[in-house]
Amino acid sequence: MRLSEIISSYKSTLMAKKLPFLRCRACSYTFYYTRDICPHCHSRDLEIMESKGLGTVFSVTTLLNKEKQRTNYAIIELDEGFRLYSTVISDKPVEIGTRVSLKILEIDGSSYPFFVALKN
Amino acid sequence: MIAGFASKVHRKFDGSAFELMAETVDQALEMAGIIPGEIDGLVTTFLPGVFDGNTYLHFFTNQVRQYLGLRARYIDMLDFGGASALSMIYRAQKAISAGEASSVICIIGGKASEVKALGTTVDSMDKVYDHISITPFDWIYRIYDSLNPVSDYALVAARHAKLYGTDDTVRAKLAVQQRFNGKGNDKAMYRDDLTVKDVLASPVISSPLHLLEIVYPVDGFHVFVVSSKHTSLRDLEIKAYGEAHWAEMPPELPDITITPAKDSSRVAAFDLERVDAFELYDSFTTTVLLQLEDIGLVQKGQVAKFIEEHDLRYTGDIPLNTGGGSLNCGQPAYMSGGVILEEALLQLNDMAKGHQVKGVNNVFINGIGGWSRSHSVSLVLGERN
Ligand SMILES: [Zn+2]
Repeated sequence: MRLSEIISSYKSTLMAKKLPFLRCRACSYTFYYTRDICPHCHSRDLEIMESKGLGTVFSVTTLLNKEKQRTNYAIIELDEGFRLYSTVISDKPVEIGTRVSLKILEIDGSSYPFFVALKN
Repeated sequence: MIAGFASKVHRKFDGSAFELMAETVDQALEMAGIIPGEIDGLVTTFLPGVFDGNTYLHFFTNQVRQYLGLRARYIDMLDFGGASALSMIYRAQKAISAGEASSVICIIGGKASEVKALGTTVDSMDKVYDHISITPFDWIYRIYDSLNPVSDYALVAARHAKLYGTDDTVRAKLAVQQRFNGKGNDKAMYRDDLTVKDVLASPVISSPLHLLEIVYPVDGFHVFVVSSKHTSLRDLEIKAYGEAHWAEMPPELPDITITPAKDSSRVAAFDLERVDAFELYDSFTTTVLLQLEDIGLVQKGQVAKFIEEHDLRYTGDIPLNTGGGSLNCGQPAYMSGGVILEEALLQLNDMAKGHQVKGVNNVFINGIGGWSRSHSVSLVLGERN
């Protein structure tokens, strides 16, 4: 798979409100950041998967953005094992370990993964 | 080995970066008793926008040498952010040992004020300029609001707190002890009394990190002259050295609370019992705590207990960041490596008036650098055997 194919597949998956990720067929490692090579075993035998969109807050920090709004910048660990930077949309403080689900938002015409806390 | 060194640091320098660099070089050469014509090597580093406000300087080492009038037979350009300074003197020494140069000038610095004027930091230059990237994956993650690099270290501090109960007080205690050391250092910008309460009362910039746990970027240069020539300075050598360069995006790290200092210090493999002072990279309080664990002074997760049980002041049992570190001296050009290396040299040469540790023979210096803690350099300097 060429990198350009991976990126365009990611974009269309996100547009369809799903979260894509990469899985190495050789070593089963899953990862999110778009490479056409497995960063673990360096195999090029990769497949693009779709996540169920459920995960856990691995770490989170609250800060004020340029518009002085509170925002929760986070690392999310998806149930499929990979992690990514994202933002947890919440008015309340978010704790590490909180279960979250995917919420795709459109920014400047492109779709990106955000997360919201799951109601227990 | 180190024939001379100098620093010139300003909160904001109104002149040009080239001018400030040349002044610092002059001062270092004067200490070394070496004339510019004797310099035949240059090692330096460059960060976008930081040197003089230009996002890029075409053939940077040419520009440095053109300004200084320096012909060379050895040049190296390092790219490890804050850890570069430590590697500079190692590589300079290696070139001298190999007969490739006799006197090498190592230059690190620039003007952080040029970047601050844009309302950004060096690790978020992509937000104000097109055609600057931070990683090969910017398209998919740089849309989130963050305060890179503060927020990235905040994520680490939050995770460390969650896993090991390292609360805000632990980090504040470190800041307070570093301030104590800074109070005796005439190079420190911040020398007022500081309490744990003060640190915790300062604004939270990116939770859990407070303003007083974060370095203040400034303008300035550090210059180190490595030479085969003997000078009035103590005859030092590199007793141990290790580098580690990691490849993961931070979310991909198996454990974000571990830095490559774990690997670089293992390569250096120096008996920490023989170390008289530690100078550990202090971009944030958290950075120091992580290194205390990663270099092996204490087990991962136990740093709160360590801070409780030891006195980290320059008069204490484990002197740490003995001049106050860059948290109190400022961080020239977004890189603290020059600050901690200079402090090590002051200590080893008994030149640290007001913050001198007694009987310093070996100093352990650790630099962390590059976005996302991707580089670490561990270095022990001591008197030549
Ligand atoms: Zn693999």
